[in-house]
Amino acid sequence: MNARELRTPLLAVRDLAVHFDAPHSASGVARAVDGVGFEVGEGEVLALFGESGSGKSVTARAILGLVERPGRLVAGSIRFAGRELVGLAESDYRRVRGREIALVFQDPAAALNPVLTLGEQLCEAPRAHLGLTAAAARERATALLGELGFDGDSGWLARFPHQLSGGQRQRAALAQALLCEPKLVLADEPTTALDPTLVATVVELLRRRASERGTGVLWITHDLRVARSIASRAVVLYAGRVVETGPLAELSRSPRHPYTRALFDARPSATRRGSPLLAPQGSAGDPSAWPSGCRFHPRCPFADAACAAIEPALARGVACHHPLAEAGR
Amino acid sequence: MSSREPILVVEGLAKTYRTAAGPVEALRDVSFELARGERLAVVGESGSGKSTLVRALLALVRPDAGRVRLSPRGAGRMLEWSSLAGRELARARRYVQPVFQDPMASLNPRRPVIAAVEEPLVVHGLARGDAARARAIALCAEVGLEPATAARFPHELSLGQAQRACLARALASEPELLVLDEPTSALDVGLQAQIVNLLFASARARELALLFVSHDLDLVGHVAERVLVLERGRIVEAGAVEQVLDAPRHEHTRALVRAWQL
Repeated sequence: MNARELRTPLLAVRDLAVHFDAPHSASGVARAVDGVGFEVGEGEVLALFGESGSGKSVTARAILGLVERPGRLVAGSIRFAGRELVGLAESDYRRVRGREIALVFQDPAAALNPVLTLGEQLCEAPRAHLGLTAAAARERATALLGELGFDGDSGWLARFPHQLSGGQRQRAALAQALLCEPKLVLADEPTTALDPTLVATVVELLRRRASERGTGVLWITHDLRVARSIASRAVVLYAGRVVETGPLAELSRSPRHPYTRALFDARPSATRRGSPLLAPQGSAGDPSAWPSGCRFHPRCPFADAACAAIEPALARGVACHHPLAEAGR
Repeated sequence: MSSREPILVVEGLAKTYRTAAGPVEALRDVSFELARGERLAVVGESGSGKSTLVRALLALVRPDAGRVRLSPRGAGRMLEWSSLAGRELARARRYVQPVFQDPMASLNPRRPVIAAVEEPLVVHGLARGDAARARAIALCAEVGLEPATAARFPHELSLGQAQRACLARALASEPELLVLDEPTSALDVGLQAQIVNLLFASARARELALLFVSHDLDLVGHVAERVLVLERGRIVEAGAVEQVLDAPRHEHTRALVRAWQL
């Protein structure tokens, strides 16, 4: 363990619960995030892994103070750079959001304004937050676009989003997020629309930011394969709970939670060419009526009566009554 | 090249777009064949011409040069697919069906999905009335959609259910070739696996050829028998999937495989 890990983490989320009013359900409440905790150190890239509905994007919104009705942050603590964000006044949150914690969306169209040139929208924040001159802001933006694989002329800044390809828009949105040198980047499925060469470019840039400038990265994804190339540790979410956490290399070599293993087994691969993939059947279910006990038990091949009755606690990195042994079962 | 009978023959396909920044050659002298029931993947970077190729194969853009011929058993003869127009083209569309990346964008939001599955049956004169409804229900069942789910509107479905509906609709007109553009990249791993399994089962049951575009080289390795690699509109490598992915010969293919393994 190095000195960096012994210091206060950059981000510490504890027992976070975000619920949504669900007036048409029997329970009346959808427990989208239900007791989630993890830490991101300075210079660390943590993968927050989950399928749709697992609560990963809601967790990201909670960190940014963007939970809105009918959602409510009902419990938990989010400490960032030594300060508590839960309960922070909106005027203070605005100084954190975008500048100290940046968000990179999956959908670049949602991040870029269609009626402004790239230059207008990329240079605005560094001028406002960092007090750069227009020329300095343009220089910084051009350099960052260059790092992201745009060839090095400033002509890009004169373009509008519609004049870019989908992959270029996504990287421009990433540039926008990084220009103010945030301490923490929340990247929500940032590589979904990119081809492998561009994924490698984005991954390489974020890794370099993490190692050279100590930027923390929370890499929110449903793609464990790309996650493996960027993150050292992962947190696996299922039905609003953390089911497994640990070094990503270990998780992929010998997953201990049956859900984590099902995820790796479901990936297509040339070694099993043409044979049916082992898809976990069904879905996690309805957040207003999660299954009793372990929420994965209805889909788990190893479930027994205890699993249906008692919710397993997260112990030594896994929340399972019957964790898989080192070499699998 | 396969010795099986071809369903698709592409010869010297070329397409240039005129843009404000000057002409862009999207496809240059692209030629290949696809056998009945064969599974072919097309890979390449963004801007390599994959989308234009998909659009040409779906007769959504007309090539500047070259031709696409189609030899469906149902037609009983070779069709000059890339020069068909009007009613002839509309009739022949039943043999080549698309599945796109975003299932929600592919379904009419104002009609229940069962209607979307039923429509091609009626349009192509394969069934009508109660018989069409019964066939549509059977197709939905084949892809794992229960009648109650199929009666819903697209926005009431999950992404995975919507993609199943798109697959059922694509199968309805009894196509002999499916053209799939990143059919699983919007889906979670578990759903991806379910859709891939369905594609396999449906294709095998019908001797249906699959041509799919994907960035996911693991998916390509799992599904495809042959691979075409496009770079700036040209085929730079083509061959059996084992050979192309495990021992790529062209520099561009090597770069793609390297980037994938990161």
